Amino acid sequence: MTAQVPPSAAPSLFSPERWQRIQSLLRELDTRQSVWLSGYLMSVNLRAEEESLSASEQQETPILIAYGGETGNSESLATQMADRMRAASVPVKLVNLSDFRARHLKREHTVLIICSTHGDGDPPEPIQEFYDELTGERSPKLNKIRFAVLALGDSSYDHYCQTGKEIDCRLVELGATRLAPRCDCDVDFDEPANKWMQQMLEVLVDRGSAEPLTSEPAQQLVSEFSKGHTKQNPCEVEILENSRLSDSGRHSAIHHIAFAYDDCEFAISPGDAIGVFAHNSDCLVSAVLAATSLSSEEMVNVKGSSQPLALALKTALDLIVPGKRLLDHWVHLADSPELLQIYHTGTTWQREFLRSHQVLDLLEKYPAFPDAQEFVDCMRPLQPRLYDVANAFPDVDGEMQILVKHFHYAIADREETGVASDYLLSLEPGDNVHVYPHKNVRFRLPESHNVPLLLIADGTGVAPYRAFIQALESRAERNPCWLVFSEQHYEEDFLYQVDWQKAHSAGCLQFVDAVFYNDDPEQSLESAIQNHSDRLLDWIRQGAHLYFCGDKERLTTCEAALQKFYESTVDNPRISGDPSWKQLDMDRRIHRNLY
Amino acid sequence: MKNIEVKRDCDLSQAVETLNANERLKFDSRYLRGSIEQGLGDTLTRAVPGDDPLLLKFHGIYQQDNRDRRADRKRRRLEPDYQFMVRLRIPGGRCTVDQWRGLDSIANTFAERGLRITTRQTIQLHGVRKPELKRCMQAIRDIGLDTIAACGDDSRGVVCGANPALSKVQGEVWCLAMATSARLIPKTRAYPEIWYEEPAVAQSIDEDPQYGPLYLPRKFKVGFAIPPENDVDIYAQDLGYIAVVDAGVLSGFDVCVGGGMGQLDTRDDSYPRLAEVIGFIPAQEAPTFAEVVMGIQRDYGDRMDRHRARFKYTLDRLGTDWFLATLAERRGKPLAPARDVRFTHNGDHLGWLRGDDGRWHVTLYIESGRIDGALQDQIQGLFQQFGGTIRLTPNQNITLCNIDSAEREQLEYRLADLGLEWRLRVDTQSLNTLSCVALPTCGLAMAESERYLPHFLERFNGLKAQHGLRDRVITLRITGCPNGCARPYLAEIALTGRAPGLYNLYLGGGFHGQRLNRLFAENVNENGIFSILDPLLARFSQEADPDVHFGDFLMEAGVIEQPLLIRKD
Repeated sequence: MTAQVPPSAAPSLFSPERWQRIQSLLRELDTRQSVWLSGYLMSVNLRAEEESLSASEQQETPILIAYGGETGNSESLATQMADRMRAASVPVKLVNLSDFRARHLKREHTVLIICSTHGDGDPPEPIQEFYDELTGERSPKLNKIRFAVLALGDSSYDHYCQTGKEIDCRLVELGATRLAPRCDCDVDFDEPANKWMQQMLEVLVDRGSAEPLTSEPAQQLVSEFSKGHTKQNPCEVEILENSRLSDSGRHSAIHHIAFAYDDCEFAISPGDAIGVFAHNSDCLVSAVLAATSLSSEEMVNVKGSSQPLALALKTALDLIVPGKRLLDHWVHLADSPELLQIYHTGTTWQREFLRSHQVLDLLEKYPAFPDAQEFVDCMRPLQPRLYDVANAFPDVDGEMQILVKHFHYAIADREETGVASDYLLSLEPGDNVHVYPHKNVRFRLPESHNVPLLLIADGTGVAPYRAFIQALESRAERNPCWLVFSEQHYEEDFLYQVDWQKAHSAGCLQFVDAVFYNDDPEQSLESAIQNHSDRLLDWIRQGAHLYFCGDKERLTTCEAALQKFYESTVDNPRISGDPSWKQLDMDRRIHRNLY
Repeated sequence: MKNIEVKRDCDLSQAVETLNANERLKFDSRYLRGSIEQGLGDTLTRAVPGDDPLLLKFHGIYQQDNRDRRADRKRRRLEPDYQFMVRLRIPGGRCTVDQWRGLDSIANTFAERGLRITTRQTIQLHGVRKPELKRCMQAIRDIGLDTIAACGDDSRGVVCGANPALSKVQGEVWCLAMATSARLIPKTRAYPEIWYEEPAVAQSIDEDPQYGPLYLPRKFKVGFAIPPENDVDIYAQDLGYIAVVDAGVLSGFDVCVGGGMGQLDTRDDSYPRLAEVIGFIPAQEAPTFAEVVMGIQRDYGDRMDRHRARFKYTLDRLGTDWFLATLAERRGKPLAPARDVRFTHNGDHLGWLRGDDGRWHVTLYIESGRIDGALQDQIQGLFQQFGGTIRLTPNQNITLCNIDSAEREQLEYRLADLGLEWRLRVDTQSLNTLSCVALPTCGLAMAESERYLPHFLERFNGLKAQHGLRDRVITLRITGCPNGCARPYLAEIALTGRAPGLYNLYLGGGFHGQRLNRLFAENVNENGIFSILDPLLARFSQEADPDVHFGDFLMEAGVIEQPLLIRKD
């Protein structure tokens, strides 16, 4: 028996030649074979339909854009990336890695990670949990996802972009597929980051449907989506007060500085910081001009704006830390055998050279005559600095207050002072500065008004606690507060002593333990707390939140000691049922703001 | 004798709630404990919070702050630079060399600016910080001294004059001064409980029977003088004992009552007053007699108006007749009539002086009583060669007592070697000049005093020299406020502070402390003062005989009105 196939199907579905071939094949089949084939074809069609269905579902699953950092740069870039994707009709989901579990990566198909590195190779504090989970033993299998990493860093450190590098490698180890090679960005990240975002758009967006990419700087896109003042759109504010709080004889002076808040189009919550755009000193600018034999008047282009070189040097460029690009450029200009030799000895030597030399050292030691624009192009941008706001209600006070400690550091056998603190300490009431808000979402008062708060600070780290306590003062229900603070001398360095006394009298601050290491070197933050170990344990049982703010080394030591003490105590079976320190951290009961 | 009925509407007989706030504070303090202990443990401040600083005074401790730094610290959001002045109780100003060494070391460990000898023959330590306070008090205990009642509404340190020419009498009088001090000081256990951390024993209902829970209305000062030396300014004491010596034997004391320097420039019913001599008592009665007089002031003193609470006002308010009657009643007999005693000298005798027992005494001049820096080391060095007794004088100098001839040689060498010799013969003007501490630590000071004195004295000496008066001694006293710590109202010339750089000028006091001066000009600055003094000194130089004192001359010449009243009514 020969199977009958309706000829009418041919014109619409198959080409005549193919139809001929199908017909000739079918004619060779017996009935059993025909029946089997029809079943087979049916099931094949179903699978294909399923596949095409799941492919369209996949198209609808948004691309995950995840960021992690401490200064807001990664967040700002991630926001730009998200905005540009949405503009190209690509659904995206924007998350902060501080709120994201690594095992949930399994649910995603495309992940873009924008991540900075803290200091010399450490993960930024907010993403520590994510990082630990991703790099730990119980990390998830991720062979279904594809990803790309934009790593932010500072090439003056040895372990430049380290966290981004580690995440990038680890994702591959876990089976994920790279969409594109990792992009490492130095402090002047605008341009490379913009290129990377463009590349992502090209990879992830069907060319036909993608909006034409703009070559405009990213700032414009962001300002469309953000209201008020931001890092890209800072606010010019007036200095209202600049008071030295420390003794006049102290090496590292500490100042209380107040900025007018009236013109600020942003809100500040207790725990937030403001970014300040510092200027280089005129003295340093003159020295750089002298060393390069460049004219202060010469017009240069910095990020699309044309300005006299002196202004660019003063306000836009980092005149302290030399970048690799400056070294590359200078080696060719200076024509110094010594410099060439160092340069060609290898990258380790280059890094060592960059670490032990400041811009002016390089310029003066190996004189050359650069072109102004080329010189500007290879300089790192002058970075804004973050300062925690020390008052809770800038709108009521009409001002934002910060604490600034004069920064001193050693380099190449001499002592230097920090550009930003030099600048801030020299300001006088009536001077203007540019500032922007910086949210510290991980450093906030808890929602509960009942749980106790243990506020631990070294030096200027007390600033946000002053804002916390002011915020508590305005409430009917107040968390019990215990402030533990360290500085040099009781009589000279009890920062905001009068404020703490008032808060204590008003019932907003139950306990204050201040440690002054020059008065009593035996005492430390951790010993001051352990002197009241019963209170510490009681408070933790009552759901206390622990805050660590200020000098990284001191507070890390303090936390380690408290953790050790806590773990040695709760191990005792009599008081079992207490959460582990790690659990406290996971429950967001430990807040860190370290620098 | 029958007591005279008096109005008792402002004294102890009234309900505590109606009295001055300080009275209620004392009443509630549980015999001077208050919450001092908790305040010492409060690490948020270097002050002792609340009203406790008032109670601390009874313990010999003044809470102060460095006023030079107030404005700067306020701007820096720091509390004032709180610190404590600790005033010791050294009756008659006598201590051993070992005690001095101890004090020297305590000053170096706990205090700033060394040691300061006060006009009441004791030592003040300035700048003690709260965390060190207990240890400082314990260190003082360890050298056999204490600070109880060195300030506060109680019997202050008993002063005792010197007269080496009557060495046996001097010894007896000093013993009586010690006994009087021991009898009058508060007995509350608060002191050892707080400072020595001794355990609290069950409190008796009446822990301090001589005082009661309200203590005195104000301070009460007792002094002993041995004529003809009036080095303690006996007429400035609430209760003064003037030794009566018959044929080299102490037979008793003429008693004077109601002296007092403090006044308020803002109140007309506030005035300095000289003590008046009221009779004679046998020598051994001095300690119990003092307790009787203090008891009368305790019961009748004004406890509503603190500015009228001193004994001098009680006497003026209730009358001498009432007082003598009440005294006779409490004592059991009336007073014998006073003997006729005379003073011829007011300051200290510098340099070497031989007692009637053949032993030597040497007095060193100490400007404003301040012993710090190099001087502190020099004195410390001097005492390495000396094993005897030290006497702090009421004119803020220091005397080494009872030196035998062999030891004197050694000491003379040592004095020369240490560069201290000049202190045995300074110009007599410096010796007759006093100042109080004032700025920066005294909370009451309105103008400079101790720090200003050297400058003022230099200009004053220059003016005297211009008028050929270099060797004529004029008593000069400067205080930072009208309260009278350096007994300004007895000086021939006195400046009391009114505002920075401005003083009230008083003129015409008696050289021997026998007569109050009078307010001559208000709120004058230094140039104003010198333009007043210049013509007066010119006239003094031209018109006065060499043995006439400046204060007496001003009165005789009619520059100052006579007679000078003991009190203003």
